[in-house]
Amino acid sequence: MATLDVRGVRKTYGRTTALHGLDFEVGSGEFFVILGPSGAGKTTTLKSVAGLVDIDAGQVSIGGRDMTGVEPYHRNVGMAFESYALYPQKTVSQNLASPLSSGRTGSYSEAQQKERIDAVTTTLGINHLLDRFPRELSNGQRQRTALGRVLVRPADIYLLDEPLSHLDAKLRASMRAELKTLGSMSDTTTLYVTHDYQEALALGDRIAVLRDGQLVQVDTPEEIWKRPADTFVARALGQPEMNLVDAIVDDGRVRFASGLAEFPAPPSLDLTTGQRVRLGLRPRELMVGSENVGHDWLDIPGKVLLSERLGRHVELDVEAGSDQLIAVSGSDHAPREGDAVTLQIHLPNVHIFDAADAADTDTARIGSATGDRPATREQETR
Amino acid sequence: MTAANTIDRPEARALVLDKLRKVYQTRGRPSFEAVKGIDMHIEPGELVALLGPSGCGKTTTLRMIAGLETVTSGEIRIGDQSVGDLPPGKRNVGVGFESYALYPPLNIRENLAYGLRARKVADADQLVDQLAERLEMRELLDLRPASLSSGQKQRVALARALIRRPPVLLLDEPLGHLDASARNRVRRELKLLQREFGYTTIVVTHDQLEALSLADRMAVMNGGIIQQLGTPDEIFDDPANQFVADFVGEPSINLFPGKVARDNGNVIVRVGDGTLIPAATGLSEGTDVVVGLRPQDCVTSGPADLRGEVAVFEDFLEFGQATVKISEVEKPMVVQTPAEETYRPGDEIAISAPAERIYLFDTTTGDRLR
Repeated sequence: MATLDVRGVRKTYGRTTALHGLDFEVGSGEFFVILGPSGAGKTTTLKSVAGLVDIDAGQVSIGGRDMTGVEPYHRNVGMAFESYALYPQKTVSQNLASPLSSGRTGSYSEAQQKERIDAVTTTLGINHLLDRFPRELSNGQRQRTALGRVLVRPADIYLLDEPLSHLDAKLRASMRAELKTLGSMSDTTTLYVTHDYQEALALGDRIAVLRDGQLVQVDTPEEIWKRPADTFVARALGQPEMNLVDAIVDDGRVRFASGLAEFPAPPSLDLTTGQRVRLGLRPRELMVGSENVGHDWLDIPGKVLLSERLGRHVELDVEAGSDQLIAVSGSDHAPREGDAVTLQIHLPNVHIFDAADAADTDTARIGSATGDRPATREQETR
Repeated sequence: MTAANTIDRPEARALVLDKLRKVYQTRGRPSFEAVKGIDMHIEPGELVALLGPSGCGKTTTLRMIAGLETVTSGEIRIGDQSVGDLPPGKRNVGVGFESYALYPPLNIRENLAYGLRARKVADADQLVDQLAERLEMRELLDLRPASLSSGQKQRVALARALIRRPPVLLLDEPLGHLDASARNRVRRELKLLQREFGYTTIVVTHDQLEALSLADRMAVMNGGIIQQLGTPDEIFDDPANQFVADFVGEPSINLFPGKVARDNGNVIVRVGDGTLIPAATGLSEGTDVVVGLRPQDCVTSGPADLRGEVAVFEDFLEFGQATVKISEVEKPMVVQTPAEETYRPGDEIAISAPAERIYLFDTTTGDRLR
């Protein structure tokens, strides 16, 4: 268990810059998640910490010790890759024993080995499989065994690269819950990389959102959710994605470009007349309304184009003037296609972002419709 | 026929499967019955999803309708015509298979327009543009097939099937290779296009969410048999058996053992040291049952019908998910909780559920008990 300090880490592959100077610190015992789409530089970050790639600039320190020039072997990190690395000719228990008998991080007696293997396999729910060979295991069991191989050996930091990505949705959910137990039981510092926002929310003490080799925001799950630094972060969390709607500030009010809804411009945000903005509305916070819910709610009239059943919920595709909004409703009294509806959202849940020239450009968050404090983007604070 | 500006809406036709069977005979091996006599009547313009695990017979069924697989027995009718003996090209079905061949030397635009040009459709280019826009593939039009990723190929295959405006459209896992957010958008667009043009459509998928969200009706298949055919609401809210209840829904339905008892003449089910009150009435005392309770249907603010201790709590901010150890029940239970509730491991939790959401199944056949 140790702290991890990443300072100005830069990595280029030929002409491509994979990491543009990353800065973050992970506290001792912290479960730190890096969330980003494929190609964002997540795996390169892990490899930089592990010493598996040579960084072009910056510094990685583990437990306060500068790792520059330290071989991966001597960094005392345990790393699990996306693919399962298991010895096919060894049983599960032999696979788990091999990191302990390598002598690399101290020597363990038979009894100590057994004790550690027991503890890890019990947590991972594979203690009944100890005598099986990898070929006799299901995908999920293999993934757990591979994870077990990492966790069985004490390390200063665990580095986990999308350990659940090969599992089907249902197995992934149950493994995620197990990892959570494991995370709270072990106090080993963990750096965990994923593209799945639910994993990030469920597991992370803090989450770092990575895009194109740059950190966009580092914060607790709740902060990231409530005060996303920009539209990229806002859209990276939540399924269906946050709706973005064009609006303009006029006469002290923020008015939808469609003209269908408006609310008073919060004074603390210093919006100026004529300023174009974008509003962010999360689908699950858009209620299908009854009338008169209160003065701090926003009403948006529209028509249901599509109604899609998704388990216990119904996803509604609502046409509101020139906007198309996705809303999520309970399945019991869901409106039908073609119905006129009023979507309602509580004003504190409405996010205000800078306007964008193109729909796919990401812009910073200014604040909420009730003037909640602005978020800061990592790049700008530097 | 005069060349119209746009192609007319196809005349949607009904598609009927009558006792359709497929038996594979391989010399030296026992025969394998992949599809065991299925019946389905698909209305003109309706979208039906065939959902099931791999090997359930869904793709074989689709291939028989397309004419890519011979029919062992039974009948396929499109409109009032029996098509089982027609070659694939004469059946008037549009097929969007993933591996559907594209002409390698032609770019995507030419590939899509090819069939239209052959039929002398005016404004073929404009039509290609419109469709490409809606399927988010405009930037692909000038590329050649070899340079596409699997997700892009899939969109092209879908566009190619749609653009012919066939009366019957068959799609095999049309969205499988797209990433999550593109999949949601393309799925909605596919559904809107299907509505607009009125294709009678069958979509094969193993993804239960895709089936629920796309289909007017869905057939859940397993072992070459249709386990249940119904609207998404019927399948989700009123599953016919344990297989359907377990296959549809995420997170999975909780299944645990229970025993039927009577309390003042009312049917109750004992689970561990707790008691649930189901809507089912026709059960005799002492019957062992499998109880099914969906994580989304668990109520944490009502009576303590089941008592448990939270082992894991995951906060997704829009809702939470607790893994709960119910006293005297071996398997942990997954419970979805409202956004405003948070738990810590070790917390006690009380669980109840609306009577009509407590599903009971036969312990041997898996049939629903009502």
